[in-house]
Amino acid sequence: METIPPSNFPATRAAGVAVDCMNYKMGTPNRLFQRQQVTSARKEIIAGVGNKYHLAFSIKDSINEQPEIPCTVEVLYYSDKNNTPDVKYNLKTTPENYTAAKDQDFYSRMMNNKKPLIAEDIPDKFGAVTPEMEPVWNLAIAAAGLAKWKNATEETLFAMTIIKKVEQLITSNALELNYDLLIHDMVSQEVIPWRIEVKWDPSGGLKVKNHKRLPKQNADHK
Amino acid sequence: MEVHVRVPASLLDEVKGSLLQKDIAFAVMINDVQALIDKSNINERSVQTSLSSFDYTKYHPMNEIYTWIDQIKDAHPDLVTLNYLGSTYETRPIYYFKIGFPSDKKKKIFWMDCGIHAREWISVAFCQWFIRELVERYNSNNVINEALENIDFYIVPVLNIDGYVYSWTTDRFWRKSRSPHNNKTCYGVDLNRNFDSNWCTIGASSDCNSITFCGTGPASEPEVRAVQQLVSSVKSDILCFLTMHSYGQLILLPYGYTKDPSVNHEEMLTVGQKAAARLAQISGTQYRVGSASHILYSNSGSSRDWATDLGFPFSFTFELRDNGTYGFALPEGQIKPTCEETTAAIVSIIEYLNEKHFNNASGNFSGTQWINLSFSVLIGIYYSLF
Ligand SMILES: [Zn+2]
Repeated sequence: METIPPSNFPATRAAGVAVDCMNYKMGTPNRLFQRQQVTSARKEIIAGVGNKYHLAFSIKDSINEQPEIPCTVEVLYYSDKNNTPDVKYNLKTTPENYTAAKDQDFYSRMMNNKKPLIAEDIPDKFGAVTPEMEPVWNLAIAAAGLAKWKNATEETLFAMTIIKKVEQLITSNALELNYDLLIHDMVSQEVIPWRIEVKWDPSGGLKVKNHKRLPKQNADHK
Repeated sequence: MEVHVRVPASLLDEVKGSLLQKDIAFAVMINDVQALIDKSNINERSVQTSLSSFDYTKYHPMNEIYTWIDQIKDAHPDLVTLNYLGSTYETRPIYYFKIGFPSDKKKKIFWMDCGIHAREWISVAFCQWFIRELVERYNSNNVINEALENIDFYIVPVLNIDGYVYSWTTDRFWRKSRSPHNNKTCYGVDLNRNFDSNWCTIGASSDCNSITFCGTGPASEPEVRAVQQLVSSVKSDILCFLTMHSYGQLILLPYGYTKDPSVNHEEMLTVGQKAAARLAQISGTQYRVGSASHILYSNSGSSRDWATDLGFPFSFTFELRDNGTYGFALPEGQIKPTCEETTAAIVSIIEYLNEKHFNNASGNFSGTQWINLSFSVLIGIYYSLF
């Protein structure tokens, strides 16, 4: 086990994967977590298995005014790139379900849509998201957490860029949204189209039914 | 009675003919209504009339930036000269400003370029903001005021103009320039992989379809050649080279092409950390500071590395807000706080240069102020005697 500089990219990229995983598991249409600076980092090279990062940092709800939550995490990248990274995290305190009322409102609104929602380009090219689309956008970021985590390697750093298109399915017992997202990989600089199909309801939480990286699009060849 | 009618172009002659036939007087009020509509659509987001009404908290398309460039030049002839840097691949003119007080002695140079990557709109918005800071607010900022005596700021508001235009018209997340390759099957070079600095050895691609395509040779692109020519021609005078990007909240030091530190690494790190600390004081935004190959990724052919190897004491890449929530599409509401905090960081670098090279402790009284002060104290004493 070797101590590594906490602000260098091996530590910050691994921390990003852990936060992606947390947002998939704890994110809601009204709650997302952001990482604060990594405060300590160690790297463990496990022969024949891969590289494991042991990190400490705090997370903070980026939407609601809530105290920071210190956490420790372990991220194991397997040498065999076909295996997705293992993420274990330990939060000092588990956040309460403080967005329950807002989540229920959003759920009722969506389930009572006269016409199922179809929307494009969220945010728009000036970064604007209308208030009624914010939960739809937040849910996409939480769901993208799964795709980002499952596809992460030590050579990626993903961020959800925009919703190209979102379509609501007609359902009666859970909200279902099919998203076409663009996800930016900072390391390759590519903007990657990604299809993510989501099922969510306030009590059952978030499930990603399918997620699939799509072939690169080229505006010059449209 | 007067009647206004809109006549389709195809029926114009017919209508004119029958009016003449029936001896009805008429006049053409608007020659081309469509042209008028098109023109008003361009200005739909912001009507740009004068410099004083220019909105620095919005992103602006290139036609508005060209107008703004002209207006800045006209409004501040005492402080600013507008110069031609070169042409883009699609033959748009690239300009740079020289900003400083006129002086008989040889001045040093502070370089800043924005918009080398098309989709990084906040970078362009920052250059505009910073130029206004220099030309309109120097009187309220001691550090800038002193710097303008000894330093000329060379600022390129938008370098990759073709790409910037394309990011407005066609693809918001376009990064590269717009030169065609392989029989026009693919477009654009990553201009920050095209500089003549360990060109295309690491973190760049020789495939034109790649978003980090390094070009067909070192400085193969007209935009990069233009920068290399100008910067090389004044290289002995450049104190600091800054290139503005987004996103990630980073101050990147050389190198990208190797993990080895540059000759002036320690001093650059100190100055960079001081800048990040000053930036955080404004609204709490946290930046990381370090060499690119350690805190972000390895890359070759960047302007920062190229400038470092020309021997400039300071060469930094700024990656502005945010941390990935909005990324390139940073909301317009964040332009102001981003520009304010970044200005504070850059002023702290300028302050360091003032103190180191011109022996002026900014914030203290300058020589003339001392004389004025002593003089008024003397007058005070003189009057109190009587
Ligand atoms: Zn950039």
